[in-house]
Amino acid sequence: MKRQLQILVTLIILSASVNAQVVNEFLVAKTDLNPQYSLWDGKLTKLMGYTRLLSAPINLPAPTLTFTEGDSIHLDLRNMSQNAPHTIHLHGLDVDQQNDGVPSLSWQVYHSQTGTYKFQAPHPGTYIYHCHVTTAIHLQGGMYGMIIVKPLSGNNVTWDGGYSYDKEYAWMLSELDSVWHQDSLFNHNYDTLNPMMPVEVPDYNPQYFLINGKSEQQLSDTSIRINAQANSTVYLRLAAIGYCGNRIIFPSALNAQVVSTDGRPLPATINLDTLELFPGERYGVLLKPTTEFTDSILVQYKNMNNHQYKSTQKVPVDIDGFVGIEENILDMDVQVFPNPNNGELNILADGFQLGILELTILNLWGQSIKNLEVMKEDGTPIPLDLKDLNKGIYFIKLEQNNQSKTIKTIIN
Amino acid sequence: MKQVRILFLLLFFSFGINSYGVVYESVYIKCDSLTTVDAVKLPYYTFSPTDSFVQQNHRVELMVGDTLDLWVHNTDSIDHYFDIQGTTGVRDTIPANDSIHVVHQFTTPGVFIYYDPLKFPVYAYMGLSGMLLVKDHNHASFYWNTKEHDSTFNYTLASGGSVLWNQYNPKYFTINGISHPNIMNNPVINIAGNVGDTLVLYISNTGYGMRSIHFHGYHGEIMFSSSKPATVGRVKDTFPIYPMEAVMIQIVPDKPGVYPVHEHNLVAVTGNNFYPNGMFTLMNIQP
Repeated sequence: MKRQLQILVTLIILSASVNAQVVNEFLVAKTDLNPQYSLWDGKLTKLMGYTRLLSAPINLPAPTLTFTEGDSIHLDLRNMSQNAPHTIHLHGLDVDQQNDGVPSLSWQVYHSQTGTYKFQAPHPGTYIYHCHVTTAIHLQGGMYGMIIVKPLSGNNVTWDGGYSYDKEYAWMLSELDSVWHQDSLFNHNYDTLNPMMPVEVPDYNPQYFLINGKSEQQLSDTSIRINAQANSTVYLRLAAIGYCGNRIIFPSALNAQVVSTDGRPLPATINLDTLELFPGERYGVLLKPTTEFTDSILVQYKNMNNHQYKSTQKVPVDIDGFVGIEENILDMDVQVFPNPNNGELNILADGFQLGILELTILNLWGQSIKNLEVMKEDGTPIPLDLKDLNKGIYFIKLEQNNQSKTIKTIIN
Repeated sequence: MKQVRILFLLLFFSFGINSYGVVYESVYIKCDSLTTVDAVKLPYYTFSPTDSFVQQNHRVELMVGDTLDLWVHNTDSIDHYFDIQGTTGVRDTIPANDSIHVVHQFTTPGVFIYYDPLKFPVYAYMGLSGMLLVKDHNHASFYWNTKEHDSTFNYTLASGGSVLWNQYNPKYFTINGISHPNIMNNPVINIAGNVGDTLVLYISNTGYGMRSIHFHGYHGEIMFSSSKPATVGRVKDTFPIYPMEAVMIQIVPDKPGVYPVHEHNLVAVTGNNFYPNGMFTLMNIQP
């Protein structure tokens, strides 16, 4: 019995060690020689930043670093910026002083040198990394990115024993003041023997309000816009790293639920439509839409001192039908007319072969409420009588030979 | 006989520790100048502990159950008000060159802001807002009364003028009236202790702006919030503090080290546009 227990413990330890391991990461610290980063209005700006390759352009934010709970990480930083030294502060990971990235208390990486940060990732959650040298300038310059620590038990769960989800998004909220993105600031004075030497900075009046480095029409980027199925769960990681406060306004139909902050579970989850977060904070939010809809999440940026809102960014939200519809023929041409209708409608199903079609009528929650078999004849619409259904939104799923297409209809 | 005397003394001190007491305090409304990190003088008020101006408000400390017996002396030439957040019946007017007597028992632990509500937020902003602590522990504790200062506002308000708060643009950010680097050796502000200690940081935001205070090295637990009780129990490394909110954060360090604790709105880590002359402190944890 004792031996069996020993074997079990050994297996558990080995199992854990398969997932948690020594991970090597590499980043280059750089400064743009010329403006290259494209803002929403077409203007280009210079950045300071981190890249994985020397040849790669600096992006906002810097590459997301993803680890697994329990990993031992060796993070190499190569400084090729020509200017002041750089560091990596592992914001929220509670590393030891030596690896905390504060130049006056640990060490700094000078031009053409490489330093290695060694740390553990003990708690699943969302974290930030950024330079802590003359931080006000280097952070605004672009030297920040997100760290995601996944739980040992798998990818699609918030933490072991936590909440499972189907899809996740990560938004890093920041701003950009183009006045700060000048050589005069990027090449600031620096005394390596006195890293806390005062350095003059301009007033902060950002013109660009960013989510993952993008704003305005750029927010339709598929890595930012929320696209999910009704009755699925989305995990939205939020990290604020600008100098403004943020207010996030969720459509109520997303059923937003805050479950974690700063890499730790909340003592009690909170259902809300509006969430405020402030510089350095992170939150984990579950989105649980139950109906199909199109809307926007509003992300507002406010001055921390006078509380005036400077910008509202709109992130598109597209919630599709329901979970479980795998379209094998995405370009199949299927139409319903009239739509809306009184329950008498016609279906044109040109993409399907002539013969029997199986139809399933589903309600908004994806529940099957009616099954039919109809005959598709050449060039002829298929008439359908659904007058026995209550007024509302329905989905008609057409299936034939393991291929399917789902269309929406409104009976009123 | 000696043993009896020791027993008597032990009983006496035991009684003294466990029983509720009366804490006698006096504060004086004083008007003078706040000297900034770059030696600029701004018109400023404080609740000073004596009849001489001190650049930070007097900190009032009690244990749960204690009764505060407080005299508030108004040495100014105008009437002021006095109130303590979280209490009822305390608010009162203090005529110019007059005093009021406040007696109030505190039965729950926490940190409360005492302040002048006159033309709020004008006089609270001009300095008349301090911390009142009600403790239920004897852990090592540290105290931050945080404010920010817009020179133009101070001069305008001091001369009786009016300001547009939506144009507020502070250039100085202080903890207990001082900024980095003057903060660095202040034992009330800089957290110090040993691994495994329970350390408590009391922070009040008596400015007009928001705070977002970040701890390096450790997470802390919110034990009390005067205006956001739903946040109690959250374990975080970055703590937002709303205007006129006071919080109590508990840290139990798991490793030694010297780490910064600072505002993460980095504008608040500047002083008259010089970084890092704002809210930047250190935490020193010994093995």
